[in-house]
Amino acid sequence: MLFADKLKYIVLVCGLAFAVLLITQQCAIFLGILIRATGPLQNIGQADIWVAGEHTYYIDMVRPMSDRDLYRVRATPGVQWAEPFFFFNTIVQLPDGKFTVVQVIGVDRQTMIGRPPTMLSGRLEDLRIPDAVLLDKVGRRRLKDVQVGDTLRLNDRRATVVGFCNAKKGLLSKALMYTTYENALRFVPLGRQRMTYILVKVKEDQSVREVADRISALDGIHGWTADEMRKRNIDFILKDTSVGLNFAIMVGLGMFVGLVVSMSTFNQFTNDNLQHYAVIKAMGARSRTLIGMVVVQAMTVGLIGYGLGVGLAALFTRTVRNQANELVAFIPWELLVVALVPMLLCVSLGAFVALRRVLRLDPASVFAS
Amino acid sequence: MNDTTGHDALVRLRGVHKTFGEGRAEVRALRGVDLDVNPGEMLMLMGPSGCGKTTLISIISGVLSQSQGNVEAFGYQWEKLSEDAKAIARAQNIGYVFQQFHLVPQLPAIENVAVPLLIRGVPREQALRRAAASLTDVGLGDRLDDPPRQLSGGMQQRVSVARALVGQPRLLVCDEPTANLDADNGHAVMELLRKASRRTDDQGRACAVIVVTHDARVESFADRIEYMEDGRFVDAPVGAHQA
Ligand SMILES: Nc1ncnc2c1ncn2[C@@H]1O[C@H](COP(=O)(O)OP(=O)(O)O)[C@@H](O)[C@H]1O
Ligand SMILES: [Mg+2]
Repeated sequence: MLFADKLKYIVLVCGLAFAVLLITQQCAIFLGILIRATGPLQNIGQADIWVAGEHTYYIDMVRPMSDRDLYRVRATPGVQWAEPFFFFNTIVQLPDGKFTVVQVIGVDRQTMIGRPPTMLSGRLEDLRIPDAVLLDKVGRRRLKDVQVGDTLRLNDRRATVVGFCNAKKGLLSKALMYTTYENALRFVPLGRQRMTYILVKVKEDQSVREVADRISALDGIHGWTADEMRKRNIDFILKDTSVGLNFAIMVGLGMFVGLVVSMSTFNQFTNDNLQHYAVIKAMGARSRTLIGMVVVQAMTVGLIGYGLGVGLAALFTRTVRNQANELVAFIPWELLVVALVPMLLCVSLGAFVALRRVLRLDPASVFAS
Repeated sequence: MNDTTGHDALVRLRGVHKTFGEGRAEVRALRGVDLDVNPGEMLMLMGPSGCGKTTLISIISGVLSQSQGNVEAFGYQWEKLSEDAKAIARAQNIGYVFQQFHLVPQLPAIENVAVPLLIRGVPREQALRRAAASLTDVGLGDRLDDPPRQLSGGMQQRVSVARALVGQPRLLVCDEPTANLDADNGHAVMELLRKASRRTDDQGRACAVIVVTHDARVESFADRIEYMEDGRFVDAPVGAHQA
């Protein structure tokens, strides 16, 4: 019966679709942000454990250690190898005199542990040339299309671009500049506490957990397994920034709109059709039949609204991905399941509002003129 | 006068009272009604507005319960049944025709007529087939797919008669079925209702029709007329011809 009232039907479907769209899309962006927050971690697959100074709670907010700590980690039982890994921001000056911020990543010159995942041009080995750096795609764009062979200035030092690479960006999409650990220390003087991270591989027969605990037992430093490090970064975004709250507000808003539209439309619709429900009741429809009628109608609009909302969210996600590639939204199948929840909630409450009135309706009112 | 028949009455009321509200707002709509509705008869209930006719048929058809007295219909005592059991009994035994037709405006005639069968759980295809047959019986075999708004008032009331009859009910309850119709259409509808009172259901049992009306033009269709006033049956047709 609802389907025949075109206007209400459209309002209801649009309201639900809007709620589902808003919720799905906000969740997708939020997931995208969380994944981006762990981008730098995803670039480094080989390490079992990340070691940094205690109180490091976000990859960009590291408390550096001293060189001595590297030897202490290497001497920890169960450690197969431990390599320094430099990760710090600095400012680079362009040939035309302008400045931009880059993320300097220094990898061990022998093992190249922590190197960029893919090379776009140039050779990774050229990093061993003195003062050589690799830039990622963002860097190439920010630095106004620098070419291989160009010279940049970092804190009064010269750096020579030897190639371009591709790597996962962090939350702020800073330009990435890869170099050797030794170069990095020269480009970014940090004083005596200059070792930002130590990457650790655990011996085959050893438990990563136990080795991490052993490292954490050392004075002033802490070892996090790769998983813990990821969680720590995500936790930081969730708890120490208002990003999570903002998304929660948007999701709540979507929920609110969906509920208001759904409940008021269902209520209105029930009102309009009260007489018909009374007739159907008098004709002998049992509660079961009435519940079935309302639920089938509610679920039908719910599923259509859900489909539209999720579809639009997917379209949106594709569009932003195709364009600037700056704002990455992510819709895993789990989110599609999660998006069912607001739809079901709106629809159930709407149906509940309708049913409460329909079930209480006195069938004797059919004869009322 | 009302207890002329014995145990095979379709509906039997004894000493039925109905009071609405309490205290100063109390309305005594029925004040001791005895009535037998016999199989095969076309019974007409007449009386001035507010005398309790609608209240009476509501109690007969189990959508309203009496305050006092005994109501037996098709062998059931309504007050002893649960709401769902009453609903099932209504679905199986009663067809309704209303003054305002009460058709679902968005549904085509055939689906409106199929509703009682769908409520009973008859498969949709079979329900539509029987609905088409029922519409053909009332002379609307060529308007199956028209929604109510494309039909005249007379046609709409014939659709609702088809709807009332599609489930082969034993009792047809009609509240002022001709009040919204002109004389010709009123006659056509009464003709159909009279024919309906001469039916047998699918098990060969005779059926009955109760028509509430204060339309004196249709009196001639009745087998029996009962006059009501102030919640009681009255012997003489006092003020019966006010139409
Ligand atoms: N649900 C109700 N609540 C209160 N009073 C009612 C209700 N239904 C009917 N009445 C009253 O009962 C009396 C009989 O009404 P009704 O059976 O509708 O009369 P009729 O159908 O003969 O016009 C009227 O006075 C009416 O106002
Ligand atoms: Mg009445």
